[in-house]
Parts: sequence; structure tokens; C-alpha cells
Amino acid sequence: MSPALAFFIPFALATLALSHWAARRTGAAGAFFSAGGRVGSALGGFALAGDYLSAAAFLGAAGLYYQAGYDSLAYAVGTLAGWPLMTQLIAGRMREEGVFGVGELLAKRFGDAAPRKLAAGVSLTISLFYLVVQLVGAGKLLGLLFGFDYTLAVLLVTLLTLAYVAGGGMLSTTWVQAIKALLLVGCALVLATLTMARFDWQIGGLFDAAAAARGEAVFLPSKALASPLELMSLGLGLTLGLLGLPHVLMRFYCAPDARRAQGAARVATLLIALVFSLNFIDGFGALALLPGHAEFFAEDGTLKGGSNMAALHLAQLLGGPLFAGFVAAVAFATILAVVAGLTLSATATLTRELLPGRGLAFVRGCALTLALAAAAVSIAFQQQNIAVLLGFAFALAASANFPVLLLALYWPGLSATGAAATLATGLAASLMLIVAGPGVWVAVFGFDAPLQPLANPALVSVPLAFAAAALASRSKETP
Amino acid sequence: MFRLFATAAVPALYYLLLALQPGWLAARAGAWPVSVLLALTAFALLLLLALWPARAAR
Repeated sequence: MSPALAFFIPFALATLALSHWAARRTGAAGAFFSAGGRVGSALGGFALAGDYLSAAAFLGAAGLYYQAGYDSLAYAVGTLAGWPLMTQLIAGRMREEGVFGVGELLAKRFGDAAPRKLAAGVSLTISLFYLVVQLVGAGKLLGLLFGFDYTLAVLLVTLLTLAYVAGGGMLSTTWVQAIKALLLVGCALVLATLTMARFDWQIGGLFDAAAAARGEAVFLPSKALASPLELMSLGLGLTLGLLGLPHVLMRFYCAPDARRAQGAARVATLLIALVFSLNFIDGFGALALLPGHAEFFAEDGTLKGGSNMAALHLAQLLGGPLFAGFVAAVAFATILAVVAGLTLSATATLTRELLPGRGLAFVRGCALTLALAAAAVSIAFQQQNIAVLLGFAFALAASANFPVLLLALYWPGLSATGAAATLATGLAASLMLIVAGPGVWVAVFGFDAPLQPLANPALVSVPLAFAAAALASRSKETP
Repeated sequence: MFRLFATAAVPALYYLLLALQPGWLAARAGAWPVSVLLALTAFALLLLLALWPARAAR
């Protein structure tokens, strides 16, 4: 048995036992989604971090350091910047309102009107797009990490996820995410420690070795981030996108009160900042140390398995096969936890917003249907470049969900028409700008030049959504 | 309100500086590349702003 499987199997068995325990404690559909409303700051914070830190935040970030140097750090600042805003603006207020997501918040203000259904549609789209992207990533990554066939990997992740979600609902998903966050922090910490030990604990040695491998340009944004407008739009999209992600927002519903919801957001911020700070040591470490070792490179000179494997190769180099196996197992756990959170979020949106009032058996049936449908789509689209779906999910979260969430929480002047206009404008603007931009118009459709230059639409689509809210709310009386 | 303004200002200033790319951004401060120090300072400020005790929530 490979070291990776030897580490992963106990994790899977322990979390399945946890799911069984949680299933016995989850009696009704309300408790199924709230974990009984007893998740305190520490557990909630670890679960929030676990929900948010996908394999992209660890393997992907280290890979981006290896591939493009400083760009990964620029992404990390934008991603982290959303968390203080989450703590100050969203976490406590969402819990005070006692709502699961944007749809329920709009329903509380405007009744069961059009904005609720529209918000539910947007949230479901975000969760499903995100889910498909994670499953495609899981299929490819588990093939590299464990040698699994793509379809087998997707089905394995889906079935394990269903055991967590359909079995124990929010309670088991919370624990799985918290355990995974702890493992991920530990893994990044050990890797950074081993990296610094290799440079005699001198950070200058690490930077000098990275500069020797790629030049001083590795400490500046690459050409991909050369446009000032693109850079600002990327930052805005990353920061505000977090604030509209349904699977992150749902976590505050599990806290006993607003104070502990804010506490959970603080703990999550601390953990995420820690992982991002360690990532830069791991990433620059991979960039500095791997080039001297031919065993990690294919014949064409590229990193074996692609740049996403940089952290894993570094673990192999510094800690041997046992540590590399541990890192691979943590990556697997990471994927499982994020897929579980997304499946739960999509199920909640479907059964609380679009098809409400059914029992727990119906909720579990919906979880099964959604997960299997996402798995089928992931298997069908395994050869497609689906990164654009993730970009669209994040753009939707920033441009449609975030503006209406902020306004519904803080602006008494928002009308039902204004809320619907905000959602519709954010949805339409982000969709059109992404399709007309370089990510789809050039990369997917094959045209020579994009119709508009921004790959990340937030700089335009977010102000448009707020403007739509102001105009539409003025034109109608607030109910 | 100050906290909120500072939270918005930190990433905005960071990305503005990256976009403008002043010459000193490519320099080193001791062993540290200034660009990396800038990003880590933004990390630290954002963390401070998140952990700073807020108005007591209900």
C-alpha cells in the first residue's frame, strides 16, 4: 500500500464514523442544516477555514509560486482581504437575521417574492459550478496523487462526500472540515519548517536561491497581471467574491449567536492568513530547490504532473516518501471537505428556497441527486477547460450575491424591485463581460482579440449592480 | 467606520502600488524583496483588522 493511502484510509474511516455519529443526532431538516445551532467560535472557525481552503489554496498556490512567482502572493492578498470585511460586515449580521443564505434574507425582507427565487437560482448556480470544478480537479489530482482512474476518483469523492452530507448533514460536514483545516495547517507548517531548515533558517538564503533559479523578476507580478485595470479588477473580484459564496455564508447559521459567528470568522481569518504565509515559503522553496533534481521533471523539462504537484515534489525532496504520502492524503481530505461543503450548500438552496417544506428523506434524496448529477457532468467534461466555470462562479458571487447581500443587510431603502434588479444586473453583466473577455472570447471561441480587455469583470460588474439597485429602488416605493 | 475604511484601503493601496510598479518595489530591504514585504505587511494589517475587537454583536 502506498504511504498516501496508508494515511488517507484512517482519515476516511474516522470521518465516516463521525458521520454515523452525527446522523444519529440529526433528527429534523432544520437541525440537518444548522448542526443544532451549537457550533462555537473555534470549531466554526476551523470549519469555515476548511470550507474555504480548497486544494487550490495549497497545491494550487504553491504551484502558482513555482510557475509565476509573485503572482500567487498577489492572489493571496486579494483572497485574504475579504475576511476582515466578512468579520465586520457580514458574519454577525447574518446570524442576527437568522438566515441561511441570501435567498432567505431577501424572503425575510420582501416575502416569498421574485428576488428570493432569483437569489436562490444564483446561489445554486455558484455552488454547482464550483462543485463541478472541484470534482474535475479531484479526478485529475487523485489520478496524479494515487494513480486512480479519473472516473473512479470522481465517484469515490462523490460517494464519500454523500456519506458525510446525506448522513450527518451540517454536523458531520463541520467536523470533517475542521479536521481537514487542522491537517492542512499542520502540513503547510511542517513543509515550511523543512524548507527553512534547508536554508539554515535564513530567509535571505531562500530568496537568493529563488532569484538564482528565475531572476529577481520572480518577486514582481508577471505579464499576466501587467495591466493596472486587470490587477484592480482581480483584487476586487477576489475580495468581494468571498463575501458572496453561499457555502461560506451558510456557516454563520450554525453559530449560537452573532458574537460567536464573528468569532468564527476571526478564527478562520487567522488560519487562512497562516496558511497563506506558509504557502509563500513552500512555494518559493519549491521554485528554489526543485530545479536541481531531475527526478521531478519530465523529458520536456516541465514538472512531472504539472505545476500543481510542486508542493508534493518538495515534500518528497525534503521529507521523503512518507511525508509526501501525508501531503497527498491531506490534499485528498481537502478535496473531500470542500466538495462536502458545496454539496450541502447546493442541497440547502434547493430544499430550503426552491422546493421548501419537505422532510429529511427528501433533503437526503436531493443531496444524492445533486451530487450524482455534478459527478456525471464532471465525468462528461473531463477533457474540457472548465476553469472558466470557477471564474464565473466567483464573478457571480462578487457581482450578484455580494451587492444584494450588503444592501439587504444595511440599506433600508432597498426595494424588492431593487433587489431583483441588483441580482439580474450582476448576473447579466458578469456573464456578458466574461464571455466577451479574453478567458472565453479568445481562449474558448478562438477569436484573435477579446471584445473587452478584462478577464476579471468585477471592476465593472460590481458598480453596475449597485447602480441598478439605486435606480430600481428609487423608481418604486419601498414596501 | 475607521476599521471598515482601513480594511478597504489596505488591499486597494496594495493593488494600486503593484499596478504602478514604482522602482523601489523591485529593490531589497536587507534580505527581503520589498514586494514580498509589502504583501506580508498587507497580510498583517488585514489580520489585525479582522482580529480587532468589533462593536459587540448581539
